[in-house]
Parts: sequence; C-alpha cells; structure tokens
Amino acid sequence: MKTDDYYLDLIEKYIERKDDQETQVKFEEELRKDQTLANMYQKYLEAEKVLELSAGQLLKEKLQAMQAQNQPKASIPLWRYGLLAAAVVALIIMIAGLGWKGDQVSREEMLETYIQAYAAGPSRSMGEKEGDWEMAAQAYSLKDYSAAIQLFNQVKPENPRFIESRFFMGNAAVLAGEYSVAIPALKQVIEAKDIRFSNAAQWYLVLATFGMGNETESQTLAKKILNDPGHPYRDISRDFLHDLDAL
Amino acid sequence: MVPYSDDEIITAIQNGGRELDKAMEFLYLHSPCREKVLTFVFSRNGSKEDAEDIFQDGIRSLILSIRGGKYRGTGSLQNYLLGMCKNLWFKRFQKIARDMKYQQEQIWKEQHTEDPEWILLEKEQEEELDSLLNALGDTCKKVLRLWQLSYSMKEIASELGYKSEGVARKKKRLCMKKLLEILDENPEIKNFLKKYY
Repeated sequence: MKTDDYYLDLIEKYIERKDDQETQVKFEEELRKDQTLANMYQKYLEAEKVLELSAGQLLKEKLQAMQAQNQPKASIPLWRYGLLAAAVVALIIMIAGLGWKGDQVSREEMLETYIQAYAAGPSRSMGEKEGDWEMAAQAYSLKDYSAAIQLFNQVKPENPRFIESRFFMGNAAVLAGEYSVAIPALKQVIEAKDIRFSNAAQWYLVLATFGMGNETESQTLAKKILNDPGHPYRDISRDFLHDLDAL
Repeated sequence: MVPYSDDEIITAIQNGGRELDKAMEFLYLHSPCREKVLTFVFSRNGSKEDAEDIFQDGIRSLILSIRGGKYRGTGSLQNYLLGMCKNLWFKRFQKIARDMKYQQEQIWKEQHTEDPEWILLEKEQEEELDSLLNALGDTCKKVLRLWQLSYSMKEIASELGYKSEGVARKKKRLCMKKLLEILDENPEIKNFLKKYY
C-alpha cells in the first residue's frame, strides 16, 4: 500500500527537480493515473499558498529582531561578564561531555524531532478561585515549563480540573526533559480515561519513556497507538517507529 | 556592509535563506530609501513606531512581491520600495492623511503608477490565518515558513538549534503532514485562500 510519505516524496521531487525532464514526465503520467496522488498534489499546492501568505509574519519577526538589535543598548555591568564567561565554560563542558556519548546524539535528534508543545494549550480559568491555574497556564504558554510543572502539581485531586492539570504537568515535563516526572502524571491521565487528554497522554508517554532511555517500552506503546485505527497520533507513531528501527 | 545592486538584491531574495536575510538586512539598515520613508511618515504626523512599521512592511511586501513573481522590475528597486511604503501609509493611515494634507496626497496618489502588486495581509487577516494554523504549533509554523522562504535544511537546523539537517528534514515532513491534515479538517482555510488566489 502506498503511504503518504511515498506520495509526498514524489511531489517534492517533482517540485524540486523542475529541470529533470524524466522526473517531470513520470510524475505527470502518474498524476493522471493515480487519483490519490492527484488529491494529495492539490492539497500540497494549497498548503504552499497558505505558507506563502503566512511567510510574511516570519519576515516581520526578523525585521523586528534587527530593529531591536540596532537600538542603543544599556551598558552591561562588569559582574555580568563574569556570569557570561561561566556560562560559556559550562556550555563547553556540556558539549564535551556529550561528545563522549556518541549514541545519544541520534536519540536526542529523535526527541528534538518529535517533541512539541500540545497545540491547544491549557484552557483558561473559569472561576475566581483559580488564580493558581491561571498562573500555571500562563507559565505553560510562556514556555516556562519548570514553573508550569510546579504550578500544575499544586492542583489538588478534588479539583475538577485535576486530570487536565496532570496532563499539562506531564506534557510540560516532557518539554522540559524531565521524563521521570512526566511518566507518572501521564499514566494517571491514561488511567482516568478522560477522552479529552488520554490520546495525547499516550503519545507523550511514548516520548517520555523514550526520553528515559526505555526504547522497548516506548516501542510497545507506539505500536499500541498504531494498532488503534482511529487514534489521532497514529501517523506520527508510525513515523516514530520507523525512526526507532533505524536507530 | 558591501552595497548591493538592485539585481543582486533581487537574486538574493529569489534564492532565499541566508542570502535573503542578508539582502533584507541591507535594505533595512543601509538602504537609501530608509531615510526617505522615515521623513515621509514623520512629515505626515506619523510617530517613529509608525515609520518603522511602515518601512518594515514595505520591505516585507517587496520581498513577497519578488518571491511571488509579481515584481515587474521597471524602475529602480529603491523607488519601488518607497512607492510601496507610501501606499501602505495611505492604506493604513487614510484618515490621518485625509485630515492633514488630503489634496496633496490625492494628487500624488493619482500620479503614482507603481502600485505594489503584492498587498500584505492586514493585521487582522494575519491573525485570522495564524489562528487557523494554531494546531500546527509554533515550531512547525516556523519550520514551514523558513522552508517557504527557501532556507536550506542546514539553515533551518541552524536557525532552530537542531543538531543536523536530517532532523530539520524530518521535522519539516512531519509539519507538512500536519498542515495537510489541518487543511482537510478546516474548509474555512480554503475560503480564506479564495480571497487571495
């Protein structure tokens, strides 16, 4: 069976190799015969248009960064140079340390590829007594994941949003690389069978176990998702398993 | 910084990636047009922020126009950029322009023939598109936008701090799949596109 990756490979080759007559002819022939390819190509062109319209935002961000860099800067106190030097030394030591663990690089690359914040983010506060929740949600949206973990962890089991808080705590912990914190929180969400978060929790648990170095368990969990036909994380789990095999 | 000729700027913008970054930096910091745009906006009671905003949007508009194949290449690039900035000013600050120097602006507008072929999305429209793409997440949005601006996988990896271009390539594929899913699930994006294509 032809996968999405197969079709995307064909489309991208066609777009990138405009000078290659053979690729062009072959693709156009295939396009006439294969309706799935034709539909995917149509969608791909729409995606490119969306990105063309939205690329202007990235240019704006870059221009604003240039503007900020070229504004007069306040002088830096001398003690801050000391801190900066210490940070550079620490970074060099860290990089040197990583150099000895050659096998970790590709695992880290995999984590970098797959770990991403939960797009929907925590829902907003609904009551007056939910100040802590609001702070936790804010910390999460500001990508201060360490603070978010602590704040979500303060939500008590009797709070109706307890499971939601466990999910975001687990999610924030994955994003912060604190996998041992993430795993129990995510398991709790899965056990609660809360349909809002259990699917995503299963996926983040795959990443957390992988992050902990437990590849076998991570593989088992990803396969479980893959075997569930309606699972929203099925495609990404397939990619993940494919990469895991290639490690 | 080495000055760029018009042709060099156009080529760098078409090539995209870091070359585009450098050409954009040249336009933003060293273009002779910069002072003209700032003076133009100040003289019409615009603030420093307004002037910066207009100049930045003029550059964005110029880049998107060149990359979208809509730039016709008649006259100098600097004049074209100045024209774009002036049009953006009229568009956004029409009311102020009417109040201050309506007749003078109107005459200029009628005489000016080089209207930008690429009109930037308005702020509200940018926000609307951004929210339609929310499910992509910030990282995917950035990866795909960089790719759209022809950054190589090596450049994307360096920009986002990935360890290799392989990671960037993989990430881009995952993000593209996600975008295709989002397009399937949100027919309103198709309606949004219809307004522009």
